[in-house]
Amino acid sequence: MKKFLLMLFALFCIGLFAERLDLNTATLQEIKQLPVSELQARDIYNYREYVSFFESLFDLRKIPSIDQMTLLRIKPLVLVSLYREEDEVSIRRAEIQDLLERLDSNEGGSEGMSDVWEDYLMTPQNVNQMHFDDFVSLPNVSPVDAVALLKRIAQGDTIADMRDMRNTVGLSYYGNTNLRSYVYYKEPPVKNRLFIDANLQYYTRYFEEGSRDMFREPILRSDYGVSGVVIPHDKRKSYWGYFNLDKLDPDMMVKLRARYGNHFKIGMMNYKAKGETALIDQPSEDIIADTKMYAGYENNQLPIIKNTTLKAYVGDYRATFGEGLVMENTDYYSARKTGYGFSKRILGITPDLSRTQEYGLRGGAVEIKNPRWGFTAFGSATKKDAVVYMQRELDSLGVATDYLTPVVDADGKYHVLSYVTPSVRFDNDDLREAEAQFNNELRQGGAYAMPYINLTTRKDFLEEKLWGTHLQASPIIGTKLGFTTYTALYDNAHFVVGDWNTLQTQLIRDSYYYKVFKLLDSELAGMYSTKNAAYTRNYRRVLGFDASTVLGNTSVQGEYAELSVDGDDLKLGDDPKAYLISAYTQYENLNFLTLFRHTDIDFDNPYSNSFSEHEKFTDTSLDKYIYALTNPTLSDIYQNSSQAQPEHGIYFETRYKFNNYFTVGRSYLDLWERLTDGRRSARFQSELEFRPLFQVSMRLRYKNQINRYDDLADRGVSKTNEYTMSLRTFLSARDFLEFEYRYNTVWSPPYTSLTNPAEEGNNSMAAAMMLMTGDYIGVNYTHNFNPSLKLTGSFVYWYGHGISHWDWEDMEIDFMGEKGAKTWVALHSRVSQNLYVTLKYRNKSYQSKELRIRQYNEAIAAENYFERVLHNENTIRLTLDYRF
Amino acid sequence: MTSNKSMKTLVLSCLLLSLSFSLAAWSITDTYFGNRISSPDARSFAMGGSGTYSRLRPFAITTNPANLTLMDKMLAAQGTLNLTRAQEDRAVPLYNSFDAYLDDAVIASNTNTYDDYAGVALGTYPISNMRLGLGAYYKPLISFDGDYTEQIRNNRGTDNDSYPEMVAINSIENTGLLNQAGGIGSFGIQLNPKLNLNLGVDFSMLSGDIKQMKSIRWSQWAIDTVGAGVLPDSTYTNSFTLDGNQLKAGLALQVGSRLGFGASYTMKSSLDRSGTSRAQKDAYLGHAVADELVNYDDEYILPSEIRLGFSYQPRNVVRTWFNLDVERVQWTELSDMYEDTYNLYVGVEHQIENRIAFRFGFQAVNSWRLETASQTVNNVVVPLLWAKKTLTPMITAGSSVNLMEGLTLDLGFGFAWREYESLDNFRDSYYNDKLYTGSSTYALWPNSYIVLKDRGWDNPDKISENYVTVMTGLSFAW
Repeated sequence: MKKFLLMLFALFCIGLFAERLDLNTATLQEIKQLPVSELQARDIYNYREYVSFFESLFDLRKIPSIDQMTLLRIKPLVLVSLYREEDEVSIRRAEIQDLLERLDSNEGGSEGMSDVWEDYLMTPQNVNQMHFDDFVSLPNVSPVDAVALLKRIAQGDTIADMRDMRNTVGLSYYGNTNLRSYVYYKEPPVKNRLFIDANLQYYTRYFEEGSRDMFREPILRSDYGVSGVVIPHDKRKSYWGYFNLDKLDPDMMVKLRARYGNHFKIGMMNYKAKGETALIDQPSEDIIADTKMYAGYENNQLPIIKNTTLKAYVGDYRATFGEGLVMENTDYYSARKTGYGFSKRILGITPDLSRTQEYGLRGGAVEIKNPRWGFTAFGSATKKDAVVYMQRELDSLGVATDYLTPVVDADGKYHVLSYVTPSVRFDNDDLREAEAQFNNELRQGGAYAMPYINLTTRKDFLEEKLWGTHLQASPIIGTKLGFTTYTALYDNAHFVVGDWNTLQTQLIRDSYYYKVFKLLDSELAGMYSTKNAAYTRNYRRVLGFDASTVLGNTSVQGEYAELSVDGDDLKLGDDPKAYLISAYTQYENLNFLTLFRHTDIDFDNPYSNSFSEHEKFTDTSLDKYIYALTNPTLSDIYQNSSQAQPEHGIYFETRYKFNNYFTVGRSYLDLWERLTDGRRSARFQSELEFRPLFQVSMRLRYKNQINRYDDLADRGVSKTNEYTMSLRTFLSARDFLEFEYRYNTVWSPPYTSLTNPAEEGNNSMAAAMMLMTGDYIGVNYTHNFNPSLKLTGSFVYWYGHGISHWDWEDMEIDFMGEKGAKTWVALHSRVSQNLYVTLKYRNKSYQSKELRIRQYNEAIAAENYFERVLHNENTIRLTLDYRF
Repeated sequence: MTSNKSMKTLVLSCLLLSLSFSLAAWSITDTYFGNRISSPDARSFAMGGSGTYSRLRPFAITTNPANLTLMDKMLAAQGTLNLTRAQEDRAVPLYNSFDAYLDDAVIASNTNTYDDYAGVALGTYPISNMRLGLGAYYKPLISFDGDYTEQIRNNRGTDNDSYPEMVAINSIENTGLLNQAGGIGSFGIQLNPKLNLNLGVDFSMLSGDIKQMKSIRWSQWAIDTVGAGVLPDSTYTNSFTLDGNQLKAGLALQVGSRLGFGASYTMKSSLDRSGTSRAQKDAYLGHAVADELVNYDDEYILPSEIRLGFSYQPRNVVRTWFNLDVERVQWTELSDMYEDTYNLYVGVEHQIENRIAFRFGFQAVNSWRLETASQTVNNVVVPLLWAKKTLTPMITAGSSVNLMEGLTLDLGFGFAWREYESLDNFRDSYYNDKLYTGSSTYALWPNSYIVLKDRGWDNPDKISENYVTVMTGLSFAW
């Protein structure tokens, strides 16, 4: 009877509700039948269609035209069914949205790694099946964390969920927090399906200071001012003027990736930088050559060989092994790349859609890995940009013209000096015309000067075929031995690098300036030759070993690499070498890193990207004396160098959260010697955060660097102090407000360009040491209007007094001039669950001191003195992201 | 009472509109092609000028005539005023004592404001599953307005921190618009509940009356220094009219409730340009008064344009529209000197709360300028005409207020900028007073080292322009 009554009641309810209109499925016509006005009906329909499905009847009150009376009137006539549009992919995307945004904002530094991490966020890996390399390739997961998890799994245990993973003995708080978003436990949150990522970026940027100065340097005949020769001021006698680099010219990037789960992956990316030919105007062969693309297959559970993963890629890919001493191919340098924390390497083969162009690998790569062993083989055939030795071209009568032609050896091969990543990849024909115009000027100079451009950049000049392999064995969990080698074959050119004396005459334009070529420039003479007095070959070969192990809560890892020059390939120690060893100890709230590294002066491995304080060629003539170079664009060898400078030093880093209120943030001390000139330096940075309330945090940061601390009488001595205070408030709705103040001092020998301007009578007193001070004040703000619209912005004012300032701006680091102000604002709009738009505008207004004292500090008759020049820059960046 | 309130709102809105200034910051460098005025729809303007597919404001029909029947309104009208503040900074290169090019120093900074207005009205009539529509509009298509002043000064006394004397004043005053008045016909058909196809045609009359004047006037100090009647003032004028018409066809396709695609094709237009240029220069040493008059009548071509775009309305916690348009302007129809250009327009609207719209957008528009140069061939100086492409990015934002049912006030704000090189407007050799006095030494220039010769492409001016535009539009739809 009871059952019958219940059924009757249910039928009654169904009958009752059946007469009601379901607002989540009703048509507009049906809604119009309700006792509402035409406008109200349309508003109800539009709300459901364009804002949200109704979760309850009271959602009707969110519609401006629906008042309480209307709600009460229609309430008995309508119902809302449970109706959700979200699928598992959009739910997953919503879960990881913050991490995706953080990866996007780190993209400037990580160069292509974000794509890999984003894929793993979206389609995580099974934590119970991951290998050691899979764990340590994720951000902020240490080898100690990896071993803790692997040992537990090896004992037959299965990690069942997030809480279970947290209970793993030896897994750190940081490791767990970062790992949990990249893994799943039993069932993947998202089933295999097709994923598409499309990205469009439009960016009007300005050149960085180094490139700007390089392009503006005039190319003038040598005897100006010597014998009454009047050289007309002519902007076109510089790359800047000739190529009209003043005009607004955007960077454009189009990127498209598609994958089926984590198995089948394809992608393409085209990047057109400022100053380069637009995609639409390029011939198709250039588009194919410059567009990155890949297709690949990955399987982490091969059917026959148990617990073995396979990766196979054709097209553009990255290869990274060990500590990056033998192979980590990227165009981008980052200082103090430890391989720990967020400064990670993704080991093995990964698809490459980064902006890396010069050191990109294109061909095929296969990687098979098992917890016990691993094998990787890769091959690449590409054309590289290079600095080429040039000579004047002869016309049909045998007379030298202003045009240039590459120097050709007796064996028909060209001579090149170096690989180069140009700041602007000018078209070779355009460069040829520009150089002819420059040569017309140069050849009129004195006989002791270089009368033509003898070294210049050529796009896609060097034909390189590269093959390499990596073998690894892991006898016990967490212990790994690896061997890596690659050989790059050059069919059409010899690398020819003269000794220090020869280079001085080839790189420096005029004997008057030879004095700027210093001891430091032995780094240039250390570049690798394939042809010299001792041997002639057509390859460059690098071999290396890497090893790592975990002892308790400490992991030790290192790599040794040799560049084959005149020694035996298989004998250690007889060739230029680089090595690095690090030990990382972690406790629950404390970690400590010690890292020792050494890079020989003549270890010239363009595919290395390891730890150092400075990039290769810092402070050499390519950096400091651009005006004295035979071709100012030779400076690009330094400007975009990705290798480590030859250094020998030890680095300590720690982070300690000693209670809920105080945290010592990333703090480090680096002591190192630059091997080219023996300059010893020390750099220390420490950060203390006090967070008395969750909403409020105060940070103090101190940085100190002393160069040439062992010889205070040396010109190279300098002491830099930087004090930073910031107050951060974490407001409601994830809004954020920060104030920051920074004060710097630099104590150094006098630079007359900074103290006494080059005017007659200004420099009559003896100068002692000099103290420069500068400061910086800034405010950063983030406001979330709602889940779909976020505004971020910043205002910064600084006064440098000769000290250069820097600022972490959104996605990139920005170096600033003497004195100025900068404002930027970015709007982040989530148009739909799949489509994101970011529009960022920046105005930067700054002064720079433009007059440089070069050889002497004498006043010149009728000289015009320009104290400071104001720069005003407007920058826009539009980013469209589509994720399906 | 209600009607009184509505009337008040209407009057207030009109007052607001009449008080708003229109600003269009216009470049004086574009004397031939002028400055293309972007969308007169304040909503579209705030969304970066995007709107090839748009049904929300009457002015959408000027971007794509097929938008007319896409709007399911019986009658609609819109008026727009815009005010543009134009700043031009003109700089010359600086060199240090090593002849190294350092940077550029601004020698003339001009700020002017300009205003424009436009209006549109339309009506549509439904027949079964079809809709027919007619519309008419007026809007400025190209502005030739531009004002510029620069002072020529010597460098006397600058070491002592005193003001150097003014030698001459140069000025440019350009006025004129190419006006567009057109009629639009459109046909729409609801093919099925999810598919709505619209086709439209726009025929417009183009006419303009343009006057350009450039003058050099010596200062009283200069005249007093060398004597009256020695230094010749100059005036160059160029007056012309443009007359012709333009044909545009468009398509708007609504696919479901979220997505719409639009396409428009503007045909190449040949306008009749007839005018007079006149060069006047006072008499000076051994030269009589010059007054040269040249009449001309030639063809002025506006290139064809193809514009494709879409509008996407997702389900979002804040109601959202996303528009994106790409436009190809076929400049190669004019001559081989040009290349076809591509323009990008992107915009987003979020209705934050209570239907308050927040709009923002971006556009990147490429235009061509004509510059002169010369080349010496066999010792004969041959004048050359160069076409130079200039990119003008613009960021935009805006909002709207519903004043009453059907009546909306839109506000749009835009900031655009561009940087490029151009030749000196007034060549330096003109200020060499030795030409006029016959003396072997300068009278107006205390620095005897100065070489007053023309700067060519060896050292062109660097131009930095920025435009701030405020646009207000009042639209009514029934």
